[in-house]
Amino acid sequence: MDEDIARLVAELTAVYEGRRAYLAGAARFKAAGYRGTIGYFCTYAPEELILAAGFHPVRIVAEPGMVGPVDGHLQSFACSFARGCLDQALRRVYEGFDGVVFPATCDSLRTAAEVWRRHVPQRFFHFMNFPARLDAPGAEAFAAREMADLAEALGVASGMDAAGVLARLPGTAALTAEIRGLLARLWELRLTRARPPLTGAEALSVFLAGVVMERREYRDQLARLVAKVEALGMDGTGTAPTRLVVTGGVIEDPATIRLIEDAGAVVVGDDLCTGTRAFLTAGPGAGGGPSAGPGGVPADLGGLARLYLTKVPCPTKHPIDRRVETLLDTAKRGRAAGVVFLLQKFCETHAFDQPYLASRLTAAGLPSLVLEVEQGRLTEGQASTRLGAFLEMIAGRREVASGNGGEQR
Amino acid sequence: MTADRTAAAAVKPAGRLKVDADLKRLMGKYYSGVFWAHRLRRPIAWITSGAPVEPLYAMGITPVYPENYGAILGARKVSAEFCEIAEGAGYSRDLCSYARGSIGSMMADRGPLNGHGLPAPDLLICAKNICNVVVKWWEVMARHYHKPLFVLDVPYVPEEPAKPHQLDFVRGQLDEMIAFLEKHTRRRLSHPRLVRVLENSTATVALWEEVQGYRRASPSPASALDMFTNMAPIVTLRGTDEAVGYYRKLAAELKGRAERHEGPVPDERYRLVWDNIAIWHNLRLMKYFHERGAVFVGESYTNAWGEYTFSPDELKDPIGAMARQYSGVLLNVGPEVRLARLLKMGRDYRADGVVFHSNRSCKTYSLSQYFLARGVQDRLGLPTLFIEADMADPRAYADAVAKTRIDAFLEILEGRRGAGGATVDSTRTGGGGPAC
Ligand code: SF4
Ligand code: SF4
Repeated sequence: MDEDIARLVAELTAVYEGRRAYLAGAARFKAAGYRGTIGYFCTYAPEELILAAGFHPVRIVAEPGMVGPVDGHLQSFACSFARGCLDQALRRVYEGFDGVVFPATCDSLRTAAEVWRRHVPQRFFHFMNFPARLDAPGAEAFAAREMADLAEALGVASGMDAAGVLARLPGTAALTAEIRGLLARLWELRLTRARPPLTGAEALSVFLAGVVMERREYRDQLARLVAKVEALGMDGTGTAPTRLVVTGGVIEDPATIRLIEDAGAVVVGDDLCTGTRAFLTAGPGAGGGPSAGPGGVPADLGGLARLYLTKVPCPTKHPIDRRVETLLDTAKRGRAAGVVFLLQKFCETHAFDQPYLASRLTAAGLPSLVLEVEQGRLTEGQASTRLGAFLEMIAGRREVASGNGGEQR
Repeated sequence: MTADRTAAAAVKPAGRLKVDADLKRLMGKYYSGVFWAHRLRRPIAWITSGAPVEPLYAMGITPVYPENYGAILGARKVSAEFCEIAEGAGYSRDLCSYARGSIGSMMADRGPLNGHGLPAPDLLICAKNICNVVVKWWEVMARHYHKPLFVLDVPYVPEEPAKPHQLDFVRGQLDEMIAFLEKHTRRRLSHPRLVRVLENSTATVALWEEVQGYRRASPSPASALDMFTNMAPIVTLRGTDEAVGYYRKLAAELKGRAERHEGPVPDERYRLVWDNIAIWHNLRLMKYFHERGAVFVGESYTNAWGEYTFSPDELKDPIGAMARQYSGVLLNVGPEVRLARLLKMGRDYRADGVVFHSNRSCKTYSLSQYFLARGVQDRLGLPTLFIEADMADPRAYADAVAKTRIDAFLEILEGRRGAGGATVDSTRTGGGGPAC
C-alpha cells in the first residue's frame, strides 16, 4: 500500500482505537468551540442538529467485554448490541458526556433507551420518534416535527434557543454532507477498483474514526486520504483475493472484518449500520442501486427529514426494497463472489430479512454465508473454518464456471 | 390477610366454565367462517392483534389473526414442529415463536385446523403498535403470497397522551388504510357502519371489564386459565354482535359464580397477577398453582383488551378516535404507564404477588419486566416471581426449574401470611429475576 495512505489510515485507526483518551481530551473540543459531547445511536439520529446545537456528536457502539450491570435491567435475550451499549453506560463509560439521543428503531433499543433515561446520570436525554414506514403520507412532516422537538431540546441544553440551532443547521449540514460525499467516494473506489485501495477492515476503521473524531478534523483527514487514493490509479496487478460484500447491523470491531479477510478474501463493499447505511442515500426515483449516493445538503428541517427518509434503509424500516436493491447493486458492481451476513445475536429485524436477502442473492448467482456476531465480534470458534469452507466453495464454483475445474464438484 | 376472602361458603364449581362450550362453538364458527370466506372468494385480510379491525368488519372483510393462530399452535402442542420448518428455511430460532410457527405452517401449507394452513390472504394489515417484529413477519407473508401489505406506523408513546402531531401521523395513515381496503376489495366503507362496529367494540370491552371486575371477589370466580382462552373472541371478533353476545353470557356466569362464592380455587390462599402472554404449550402450569392454593386474579395480557373503548362523543370522529385508541395500547406505551396499569391491577384485585413470564419470544413485552418488578416490590411491597419460558415454543422452557421456583415463591407468600403481610426481603432472591 502507498505509504501516505497507510499513514493516514493508521492515524484514523488510532483515533478510533484510542477513543476514550481522544474523547477525554476536552480541551480539544473546547478549543474547537463545542459546548459538550452528546452520544447518539444508529444512523437515524441527525448528527447535523447535534452539531448545530454546538455539541460534539459521538456514535455509541458497544465494546467487547460486558461485565454485567445490564443484567439487572435487560434479559439475556435482548439484542447483544443494545445490551453491550447499555452495560457500558451503566458502568459510567460515558460519564463525561452531556447526554444521548436515541432515534426510534427497534424494540430492544427502545427499552434500552428507557433504562438509560432512568439510570444513566446525564443532563440530556432525548428519544426521537421517527417513521418506521418511510413512505407513509405525512412521514416527512412527522419526521420534521420530531426533529424540531430535538432541535428545541438541544437548544435548551446548549443555552441557545431552537432558532439559534436552526440558524446553524445549513452550516453543519454542509459539513456532514461533505463527509458523506467523501465516504461515498472512498467506498466507490473500493468497490470498483480491480484491487481495492483499502481492505474492508481498514475502511471500517476509517468510518468508525468519523463517528468519534471532531468533524472538521475528520473531514480534512478524510479528504487527504481520498485524494491519495484517487491518485493511485487502478492498481490492477497481481492476483486479487476473493471479493466479498458484508451485510448486517452495527459492526464496531474492525477485527471482525479482518478475520474474514485473513481467511483469503477482501471485503470490497458493505451494507452495514457502520458503513454505507450511514452515508448512502437512494436517488430520486431509483430503487437504490446505481444512483445511491451521498444525497444533497438539507437547508431546513424538511430537507433534513427527507434526507433521512430516503437514505438506504435499515431493516427496522418499511419498505425495505431500497435496502435489497442497494445490496444487490453493491455486490454486482463490486464484482463480489459472495456475501457474508453478520447477524447480531438476538437482532430480530436483521434475522427476519436474512432468508429473503439470501434468496435474492442466490437468484443473482451469489452464494452467502451467515455468521453470528455479539457486540460486533464473531461468536463462534469455528467461524474461520466456515469461512474457509465458504471461500473454497466459491473457488470451486469459479473453476467450474471457467471450465478449468475438470470434474464437476 | 387472605383469610377474610376465603369465605366459609366457598365452593369449587363442578367443572370449567359452562360458557366454554359456547366459546368452542364460537371460535369454531369463526374459523370455519374464515375457511368459507376463502371458498366463497370473500376478501380475507391477515391482520395483527393490535391493528384497527373495525373498518374491516364494517366492510365485510374477514380478518384472520396469525398471532392467534400462533397461540393455537402452541396450545395444541404442534408449535415446535412448525417452528422447525421455518428454522429450516433460515429463520433464526431467536425470533418470535408465533412468527416462526405461522411461517412454518404457511410454508408447508399444513396446520391443525383443517389439515391445511390458514387460507391465503387477499391483503395484509400490520400495525406497528405492538412490536417491530410484526412488520418484518408481515413482510415475509406478503412476499410469500404476493399480496398487498399495509403497514400502519404508530409512533412510540412513552407517556400518555400521544402528542397531536403523532396522532395526525396515525390519522393520515388510517385514511390511507381505508382507501387501501377499498381499492383492494372494491368495497366501500360506510361510516355509519364503522361507527356501529366501534360501538360494538366498546360494548364488548365494557362486558370484558365487567367480567374482569368479578374477579375482585374471593374466591375469584375465574383464573388465568379461564381468561387466557376466553380472550380469543375479544381479539378476533371485537366489533361483532357475536362477541357482544358471548361476553354477555360469560359475564352472567361469572356474576353467578361470584355470588355463590364459587371459584376454581375455593380455598384461595394467594391471589396473583400474571404479566406477559400465556405459556400456551403448558397451560397445565396454572393448575400447579391452583393445587397449591394460588389463583391468578388478573393478567396484564387479558387486561390490555379492556382499553379499546370509544366514547359516544369521540365517535363523532371515528378516525381520530381510532388513532388515539390504537396509539395507547399496552405494548406501545412507556414502562411508567405499564407500571401504573400493573399497580392498579395489583391494588384493585388485592394481589399477594406478581408473576412475570419472562418470554424470550416477545421483546416488547418482556424487556421492561425488571423495571416493573422493582416497581411492584417498592410501591406495593409485593413479592415477584420470574418464570423463564416462551409462549409457544416448548423447547425454551424447563418445567422442573419453573416448578422449583414456584414452590419457593409460594413459600415466601406463606411466610408473609404468617408475618401479617410484612415485606419479606428474601423475595428478591425468591423471585428468580436477577434484578428482583
Ligand atoms: S442490532 Fe438489531 S436489535 Fe440490536 S439495536 Fe440494532 S436493529 Fe435493534
Ligand atoms: S414479538 Fe411479541 S408482540 Fe410481537 S408478534 Fe411476537 S408475541 Fe406478538
